[in-house]
Amino acid sequence: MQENDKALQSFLIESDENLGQLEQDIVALERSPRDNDRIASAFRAIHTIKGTCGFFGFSHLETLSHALEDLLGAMRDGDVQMDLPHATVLLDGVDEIRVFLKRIHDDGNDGDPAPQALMLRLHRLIPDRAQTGAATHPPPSASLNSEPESLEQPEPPLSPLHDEEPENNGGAHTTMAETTVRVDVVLLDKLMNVVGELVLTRNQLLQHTASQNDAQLVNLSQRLNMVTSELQEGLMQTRMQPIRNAWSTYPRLLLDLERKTGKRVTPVLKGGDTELDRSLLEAIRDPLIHLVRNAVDHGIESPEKRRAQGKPETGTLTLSAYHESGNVTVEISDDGAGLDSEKIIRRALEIGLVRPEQVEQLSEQEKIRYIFEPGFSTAETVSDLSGRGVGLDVVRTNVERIGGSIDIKSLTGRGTTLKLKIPLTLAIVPALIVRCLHQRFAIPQANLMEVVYVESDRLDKDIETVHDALVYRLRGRLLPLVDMRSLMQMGDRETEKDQFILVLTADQQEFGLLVDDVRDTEEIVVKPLGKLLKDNPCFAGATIMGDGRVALILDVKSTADFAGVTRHERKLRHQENPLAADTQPIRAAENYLLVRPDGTSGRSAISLSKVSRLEEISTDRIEYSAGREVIQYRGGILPLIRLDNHHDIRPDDQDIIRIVVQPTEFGEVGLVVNDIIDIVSDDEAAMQQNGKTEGILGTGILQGRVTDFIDCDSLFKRFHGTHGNEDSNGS
Amino acid sequence: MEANQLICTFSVAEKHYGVVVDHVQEVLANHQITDIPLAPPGVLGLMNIRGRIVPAIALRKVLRLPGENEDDNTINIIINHGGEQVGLMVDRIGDIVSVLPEEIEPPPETLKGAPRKFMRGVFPVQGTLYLLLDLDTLLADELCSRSASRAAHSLLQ
Repeated sequence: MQENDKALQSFLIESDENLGQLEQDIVALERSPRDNDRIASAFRAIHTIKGTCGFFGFSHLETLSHALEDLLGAMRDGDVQMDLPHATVLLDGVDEIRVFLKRIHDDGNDGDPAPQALMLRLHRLIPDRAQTGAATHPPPSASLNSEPESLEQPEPPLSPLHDEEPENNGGAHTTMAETTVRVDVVLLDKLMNVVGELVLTRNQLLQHTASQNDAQLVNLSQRLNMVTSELQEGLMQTRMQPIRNAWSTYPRLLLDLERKTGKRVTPVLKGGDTELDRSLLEAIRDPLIHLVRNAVDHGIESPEKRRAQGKPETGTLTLSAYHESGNVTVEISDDGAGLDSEKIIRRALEIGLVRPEQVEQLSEQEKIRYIFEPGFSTAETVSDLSGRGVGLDVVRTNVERIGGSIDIKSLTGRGTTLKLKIPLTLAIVPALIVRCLHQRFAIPQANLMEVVYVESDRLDKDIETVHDALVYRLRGRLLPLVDMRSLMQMGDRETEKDQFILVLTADQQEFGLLVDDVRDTEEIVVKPLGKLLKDNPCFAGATIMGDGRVALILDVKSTADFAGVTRHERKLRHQENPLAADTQPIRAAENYLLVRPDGTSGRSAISLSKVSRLEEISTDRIEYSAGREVIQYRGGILPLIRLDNHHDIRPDDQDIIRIVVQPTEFGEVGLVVNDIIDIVSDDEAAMQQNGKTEGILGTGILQGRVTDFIDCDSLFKRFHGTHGNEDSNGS
Repeated sequence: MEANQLICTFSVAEKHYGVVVDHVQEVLANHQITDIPLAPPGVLGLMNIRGRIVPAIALRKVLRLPGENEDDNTINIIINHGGEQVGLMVDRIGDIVSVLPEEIEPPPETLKGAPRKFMRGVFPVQGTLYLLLDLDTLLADELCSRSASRAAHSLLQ
């Protein structure tokens, strides 16, 4: 019984491989019908499946594979030539065999006969001679009514493939069997775990040895060290698979897509030998297919359109994979129409991903990225091919889940390139060990941009506490800070001792994490936290340090979400309260910079999302250009806008003026304010829209004081209208 | 008819408990435990048991018993539960006793409150009553699985 199960199992695995081969052959033959090697290979594959079916008594499956074999046999004999209709029927047959295999896998038998329609289509294409078995070659097996024993009967002798008949234990097959073995991946995973433990034990031993004064022990542990490393490396190798394995189905996929869309696409595959861990390969398989579908469906234009644009009628889809700084990069690029950023932003506005006043300051790149947001799927993009209920947000989530990232570039009319960065392996990752109070944490290097050291006496100055929100000015940029102690509820923020800021990225958003100390970088073995802790908001797993103690591994993405520093999180909160969003559309969840615009005590609030930097400059740096105030700033000229409309300078007032630097579509401008008071979150902002005061969005109460909300966009527009250059309108 | 059941006994806060011995992998004393920030209140921390990361459950807390765990003399009963290992922190480990199935009675009606649902039954050993714990419900309890942190979610807002 068990033997039989095993045989059945290997039948399923082998058949799956054979089908893969068959599929590739059919697709290749459709393009070059005279490739005899391909025909032979396809015939062999289907013949093996048919033969083994007979052995197991799967008569329905056998009937179907027999029909396929007949058709391929006729091609081999030159009676039929492969073309698109033939390929289509054959591929449908391949799909149907897969259905059978699935059923056999689930139920143990092959259930019902193949669909009548498919069988009819097949038989219609098979020439009579082949079907009746009265082929040019002596009769043996090629008949629909043939018995299962046909397996044992010799095939029609045809020199090029005769030697390689599968059941003929000759040449090629024996050598294959000698050099490779099939190993259950579960066993590999288990071995990987054991090696992980060995690595940890070695680390502990090395640490212990260092404190001993025993030359022989040192020698032995060095040997152990080397052997362990080699073993670890070797085992990692066994888990590596070439990315080609994930690509093998694409020619078929493209053929199907071509048929459905009427477009022509030539695939170009580069770097198929690039290897990565099989679990990662599995994880990116579906996302990649989705991206390929997308590229053909939305990227590449119809042949007519392409011709009209002077492009070759056949589009090119290039897939390339290569190693890059410890990652594997996979690029999918098409030479299609590119993305329409305007359409994307319209859709983003429609579903509330972005607010109208934000649009102007978005770069092309930022606009395009909205297609990765959840819920983004334009009516125009929904189709049979790509609109299968999974959007690019799912692709992004899947890629990020394995510690990868996705990037997109698009040139209108020239095409789109998607770039996936994937770590080589998940089991062992380089991480920075940091300390927070008495505990150590591991921060994956992939998320770490830089480390900033803040001395204790600079803490107050450099780390600004503005209404619970911590910020640090990193080279002029405002970096939101998260204090690890407070976030983890381990204690209050350190105000006495030196601190370190880890600049981390998650979801393209940077934030700083305040920790007490930074140790060194280590290769850590990632271990799961188990069921009880799966609900935890910040940790991806745990690892065992050299001294045998456990350290938690920070999941930077979830930590950012948990701390509320990601855009996504802000948006979620926004959605949680749809009523408030409806009635007060201008009151979106946001932080505001509270400023005193002029010498009076009036207060104004500027959306923090509009602020790129805060600067203090002395008034003697102000120069004039065409009647407006400017300063030389970062090698360029920064126009200044005064909120109070007093364009005259009052040097008596102050020597230093404060400037809020803001990006606009016309370049950066500096908003001159008298004082910067605070940063506040909108939770308390109850804004009322008042009349149409130019430059003011509304008035509300912030921190118990009446505050004007500055409408930056209208301010810039007005400013640009009075001062701007005509030529910049064309942009 | 039915074979005797072997039960590993222990005590927490001067109360006597037992778990079916089939689940017990080993008993460890004074094992190093690493805190887990934002963890469920019933999960005390993580232990390294020969390369495996094993959470330690503060049984006292989950059973809603008074007092604190003694820091310097902790005993962990490592149990296998659903393919994963979990450590139960107890005060004292007792004997392994053999109990006839009919000796295990349903928990008395007078036993009330949250801990009742963790009890599979009551059995006597030399005149003392022991409570047999049901690991499934114990580990599914919100003190073991619900992260305490969600409340603190709005730190930066």
